[in-house]
Amino acid sequence: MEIIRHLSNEELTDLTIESDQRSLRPTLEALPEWARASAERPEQFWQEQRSNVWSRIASSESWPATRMVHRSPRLAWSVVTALVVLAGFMLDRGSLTPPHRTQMDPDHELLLAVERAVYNDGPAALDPAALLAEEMVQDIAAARPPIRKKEPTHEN
Amino acid sequence: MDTVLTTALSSSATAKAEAISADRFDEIMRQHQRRVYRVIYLLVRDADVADTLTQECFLRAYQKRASFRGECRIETWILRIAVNLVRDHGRSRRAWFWKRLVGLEDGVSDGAEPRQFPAPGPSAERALLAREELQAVWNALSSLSPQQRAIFFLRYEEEMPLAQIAELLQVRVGSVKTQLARVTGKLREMKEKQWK
Repeated sequence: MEIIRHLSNEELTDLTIESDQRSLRPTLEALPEWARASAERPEQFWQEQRSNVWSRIASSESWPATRMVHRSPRLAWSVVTALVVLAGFMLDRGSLTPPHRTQMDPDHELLLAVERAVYNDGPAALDPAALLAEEMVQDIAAARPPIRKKEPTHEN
Repeated sequence: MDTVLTTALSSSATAKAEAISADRFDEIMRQHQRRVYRVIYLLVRDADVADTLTQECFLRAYQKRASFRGECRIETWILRIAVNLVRDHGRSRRAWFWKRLVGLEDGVSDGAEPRQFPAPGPSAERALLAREELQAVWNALSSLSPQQRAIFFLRYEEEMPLAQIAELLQVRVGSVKTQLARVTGKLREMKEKQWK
């Protein structure tokens, strides 16, 4: 019994292409000629095209940044890196400096003074009064007889 | 023109790297500009765009010559730049089309396919016949992807081996074969239905 080998996908593809090529032979054989005839241009066209390319090359090279990138990419990268480091340094310094007060709102200033006074236990002007009040409290406390503990009764 | 290019541009993949002058680049341009233009022209179907993209292709080749290490033929490398430019052009054209559709941009031509081939210069009658035949092929291929069309033209118009096409498009040979089978199948189907 003869064993028929199965064709691989690639072999099937090759067969398909060959079959199609046979079917399309006249078209495929004529295609290069059609394309060449269609894309045919006078010699002047090709000369102009070349001179345009050279003028574009010249203009792209006359631009210093482009020239630097193309001729010495290492130098260009060094410059870019230096600029990035400098920018980072300046940003870092900017974050350390205290914020510059450009204009102070009087209401805001008053609010800050009140806040400061609250956290300092009172305004500075009232310090003597606070001292006097404290002394008075101490005097009253000294004049009052000590509170005796109520002793348990034995009435029951 | 005596500037020495730092990169090797050899015509063979196995050729040893050699420094060449700008004169050599001009020679390369003379040698390949027709082919590059033709491939771009077949892919974009617009003579002015093909001219612009050909110039752009050689400008980029000159600027990026340092990246060419001689792993492939110089023509393969240049044609790769050309095909990539065509792909980028297609993307920007689609973006422009959608912009125009939603009213963000005005334009005269919509860039929609299929487009007619413009009349070329010399031997007008021969070119006219060729254009008509090509137009029929183009109409048959218009529903395919740009990559499939590129594979088709590189294979049958430029008569490039499959391995070189794969190298140019930076895909596997198997993928080129599969896509080529789709294109030829589509073309055959169209031919059987309505073509001629």
